[in-house]
Amino acid sequence: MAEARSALAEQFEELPQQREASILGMWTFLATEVLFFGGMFLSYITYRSSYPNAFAEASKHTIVLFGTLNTAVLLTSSLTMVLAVHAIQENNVKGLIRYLLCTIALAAAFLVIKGIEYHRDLDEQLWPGGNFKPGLPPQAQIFWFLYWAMTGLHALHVTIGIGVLSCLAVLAKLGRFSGVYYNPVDVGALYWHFVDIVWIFLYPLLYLINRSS
Amino acid sequence: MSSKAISRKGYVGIWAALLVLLVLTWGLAQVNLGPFNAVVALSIAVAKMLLVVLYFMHVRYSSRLTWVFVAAGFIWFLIMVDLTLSDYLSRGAVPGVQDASWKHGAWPAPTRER
Amino acid sequence: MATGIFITGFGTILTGLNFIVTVHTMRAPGLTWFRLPLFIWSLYSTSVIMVLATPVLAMTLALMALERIWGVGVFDPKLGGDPVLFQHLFWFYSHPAVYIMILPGMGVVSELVTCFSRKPVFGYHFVAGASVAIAILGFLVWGHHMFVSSQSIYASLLFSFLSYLVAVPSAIKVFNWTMTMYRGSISLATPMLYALGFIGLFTIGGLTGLFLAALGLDVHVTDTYFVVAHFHYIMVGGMVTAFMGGLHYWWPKMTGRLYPEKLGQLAALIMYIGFNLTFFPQFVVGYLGMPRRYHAYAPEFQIYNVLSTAGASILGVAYLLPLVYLIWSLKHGKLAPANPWHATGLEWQTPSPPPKHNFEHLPVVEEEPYQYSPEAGEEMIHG
Repeated sequence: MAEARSALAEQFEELPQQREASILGMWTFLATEVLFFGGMFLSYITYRSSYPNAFAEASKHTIVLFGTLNTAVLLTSSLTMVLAVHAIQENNVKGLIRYLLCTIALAAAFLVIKGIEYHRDLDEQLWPGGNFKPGLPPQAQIFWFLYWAMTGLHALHVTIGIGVLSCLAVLAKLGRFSGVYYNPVDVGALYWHFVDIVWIFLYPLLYLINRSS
Repeated sequence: MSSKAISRKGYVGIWAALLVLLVLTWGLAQVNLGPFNAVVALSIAVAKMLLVVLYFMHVRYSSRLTWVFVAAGFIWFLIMVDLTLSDYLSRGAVPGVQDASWKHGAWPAPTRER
Repeated sequence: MATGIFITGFGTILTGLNFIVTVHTMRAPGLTWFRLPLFIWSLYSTSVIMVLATPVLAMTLALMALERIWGVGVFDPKLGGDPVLFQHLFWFYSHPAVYIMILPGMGVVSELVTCFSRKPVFGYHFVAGASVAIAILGFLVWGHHMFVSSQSIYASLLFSFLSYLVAVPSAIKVFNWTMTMYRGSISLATPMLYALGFIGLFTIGGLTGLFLAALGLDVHVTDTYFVVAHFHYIMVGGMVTAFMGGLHYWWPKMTGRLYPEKLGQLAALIMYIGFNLTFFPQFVVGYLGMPRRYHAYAPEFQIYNVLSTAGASILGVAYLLPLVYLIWSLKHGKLAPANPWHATGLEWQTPSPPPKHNFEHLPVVEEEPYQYSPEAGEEMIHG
């Protein structure tokens, strides 16, 4: 139990208390992230309610293949993430590291696909401003502004997530986690699932507005 | 906190359900349901979110306090959206009152006024 | 500047997160929720607001910055953006922000009133509940800053109604503080003078807030000095006064020194006079139509402006005095015992100033809070 004692920080009395504090703390942070992204979702909602046709028109130029593929990638990364947590719950450090690396790989794949997609979008002149793709209603530019801003902020969170998960993998290799103590993994997983959930909403709002015509 | 309540197979099952929902949402978007396209798409997104939150994030097996924290974030987001929409959606709704007509104004192509 | 605010916002969010988790999971043994000091209830409520409101400000700033950098109309009407959307996002944070600003002061006043009346707080549960209610209801009223912004009349009516509701928990607190004092043994030490000042001035500020909640009247006094007077009664008459009260109350505990009591009482009195002379004329002149944020005013408003300026000078003296004697006391004040006010509460069970580890042994709380008795007649230790 010496290992358990060293995992207990000075300000806590017992490990379960420390775990509960960590998890509540991360959920509080995730609530702030909901409201942070929420500001952009609100902007999207008000502008789309004002210009539904322009938004539908604009959304047609997103690349559904990439959006759908990326959704599948992130959903799978959530699976590998929760399997990583499951592994360390069973004191399987090798499994933890393996699944963390899978999650990181999938996250990187997401960014690569996103990067290719961004490249195509720019080729199509879908960057709002003086050089915007002609032939679309003017309000399409607000849609595309929101596209770049929302997916950009999300991609930033994915990148930060890769950093966090990499740190967890390194700490795991250094033997810091066991079946008794794995709070940072728990908490990192919560963050990662949140990043997935943001994309779950971005996907239909950006890619699927009107694909039926 | 019995987050060990789900086996590896269980997690894979949830993942499979998520992928099914993904195919469903993509598929239904190809069909013209009029205004219901948005409703359907958002409902499926909410369903996916619930699967991730309840099972992958273990909220199903967490304390009531955790539930409150989780719910609070989403509820506060809904407060912000609902009360803001109470403005936008009710413009012109009260007879005899001249509300802002920005909603129907022209949104010009931006020119760089530098 | 936007980046600076964005970064500061992280500090706010992390502080709020820290307080919330600490109160939920790290209370001393025996310290149940309803044994917490009311100051902690206030800080907890403040923290909830900080955590839920600040991220929206962060996003508003980010969108504003992107608009400038990318040259696309998001909020800027010249580029086709929607300025009212900016206002919705901005005030969604900024209204709760004013409750962030006042709730800690209310918490301080709860501590002061009970200690210096030697009586348990009247209606502890109601005061605790009112703090939480203010935090929640405070999120539902932001549109009252937008009555003249071209917000729809329906939304304005809704926000006006909700703004009346949010005044109720604040009023409940004022009633409870007053009833705490009733039949108490009042000691007019400096912290209590500030607490009494708070109750009076906050009440005026709060009632004028109700004037502003009324849609019709608000349109008349929008952007006039009436609004300026209202929020200064709350912020300066309320929060700054409470801050001064708390500063004096906990000064012995924090520094281990007693401040000179007579000077403290004098400064509190001067502050009260100076404050009212500064800001009361602003209610009058605002109602008469003097606009805010103008560099000049019409000649018929001159007398009010002169009175206000005179008051401000007096107020300045009232703030300078404590600055001087508090700094003086750090070197020359009498040494403070652990509990000069004979107050209840864990902070008074440890030396002044507390050691780095705060408590020699983890305290176990067995009593209900505020076990004061008006008849006991303890002698407070003054500087």
